[in-house]
Amino acid sequence: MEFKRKYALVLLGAVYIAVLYGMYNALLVFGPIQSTSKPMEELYRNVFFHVPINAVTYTAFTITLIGSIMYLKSRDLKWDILAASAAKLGIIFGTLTLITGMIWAKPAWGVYWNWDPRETTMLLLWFVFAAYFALRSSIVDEEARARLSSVVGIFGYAGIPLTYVSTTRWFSLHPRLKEFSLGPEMNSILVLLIFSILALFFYLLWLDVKVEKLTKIQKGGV
Amino acid sequence: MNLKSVFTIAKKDLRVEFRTKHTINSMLLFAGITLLVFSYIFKGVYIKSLPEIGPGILWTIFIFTGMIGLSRAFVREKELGTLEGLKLSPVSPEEILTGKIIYNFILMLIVMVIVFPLFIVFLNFPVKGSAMLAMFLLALGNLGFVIVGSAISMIVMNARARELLLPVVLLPVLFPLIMASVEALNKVLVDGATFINITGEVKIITAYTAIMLVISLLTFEYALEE
Amino acid sequence: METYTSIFIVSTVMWTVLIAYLIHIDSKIRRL
Repeated sequence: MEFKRKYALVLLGAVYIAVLYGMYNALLVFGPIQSTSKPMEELYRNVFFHVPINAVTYTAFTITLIGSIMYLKSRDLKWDILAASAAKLGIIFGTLTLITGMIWAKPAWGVYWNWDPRETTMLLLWFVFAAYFALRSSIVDEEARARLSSVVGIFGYAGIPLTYVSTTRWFSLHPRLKEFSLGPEMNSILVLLIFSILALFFYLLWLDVKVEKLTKIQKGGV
Repeated sequence: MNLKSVFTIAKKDLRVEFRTKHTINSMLLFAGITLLVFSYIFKGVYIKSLPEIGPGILWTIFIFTGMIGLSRAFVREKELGTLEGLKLSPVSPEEILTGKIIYNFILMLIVMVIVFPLFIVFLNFPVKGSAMLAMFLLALGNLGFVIVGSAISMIVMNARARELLLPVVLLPVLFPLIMASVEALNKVLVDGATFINITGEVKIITAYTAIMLVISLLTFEYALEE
Repeated sequence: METYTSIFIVSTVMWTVLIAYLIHIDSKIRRL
């Protein structure tokens, strides 16, 4: 995929401004909201950071799945590079999701971790990414590494929806997160941020894939 | 799929195993010693909370015993070079996988039948519900475990730190199964639930097993490649 | 309100640094 340098920079610039605008609104423009829980009235702001990052993590994971399946079908290593780069970004954004979640949880519900279905699913997703890399780092042969980690990627992905379903059952006895609603302005800022961070992710993905391909060429591969 | 080949593979593995009984003995010993450790940890002081954690302990023992068994089964094939022989024979990868699953499942059933009564005896576990239903649940969960375990073992066998990697890769994939199984076992053993009460968990376990079986069969040929 | 201003400033700085870094990597790759 060759982009003209102009387009990439324009995109980055747009993302930069959009996120800045979003943060400005989230932190300095919006006031407290109506909520059943007192701390949430101010803390809701975390949503603007947490949700986009969460969306990116799941997107990254899906791309890893696609890359894994396509590699097994086509045996073209470029799919494996895509899957691995997406997984790398996925684990980074996943860590950020967990951290933003914990920052939110402590003042809002008193504990850093709640074993809530969504939290647990995200944590499990993190472990799947980690296992994916653990496997990759212990196989030297490029083809074997691509093939085997693709299979693991597929297995890992299959477990996630099931985990969500079973944790929802399990934790239905425990107190659930109370939802709050944002006004239309806030919603549009949130959507803006989601798209911006997603765009940032795709740019990072493209960048990482490019670097990996160049590194491969440099090492003498094709 | 040729069932005859499948059963031949399973029978071969069983025959080899029962010549020396190394793997099954190690598994049973491991389960026994772990049970001993747990019964020491949980005697006396913590007896009140035992019903809550009991099923979890039982599944933990099964999972780790199972991983030892799986490791042994596949590493032995690799060490002895019999894996190449299998690949060369006119058996399809799916048949090899199913044969291995049956073999590992039988091993786990043996462990189950011995460890479950021991568990009840040594931890003085108050069984409220039907022990038969509990055994059925254990078997069901173990089936899912063995399916995913066999597939993942084959993948991990090609890596360098194979025995180390197996838990790391297997456990995240196994997580939903563990959750549903422990929950179901909890309900049956502690709350005395009957089959009707656990249909939800059983559905999840069955769905998991079915999905994982399909994925395992589809991907096994890639795992076997050289 | 003051905490939010400082959070905003810190976030803006980090964000700017990140984007600048990305542009830097991007230009390095172009040169290859």
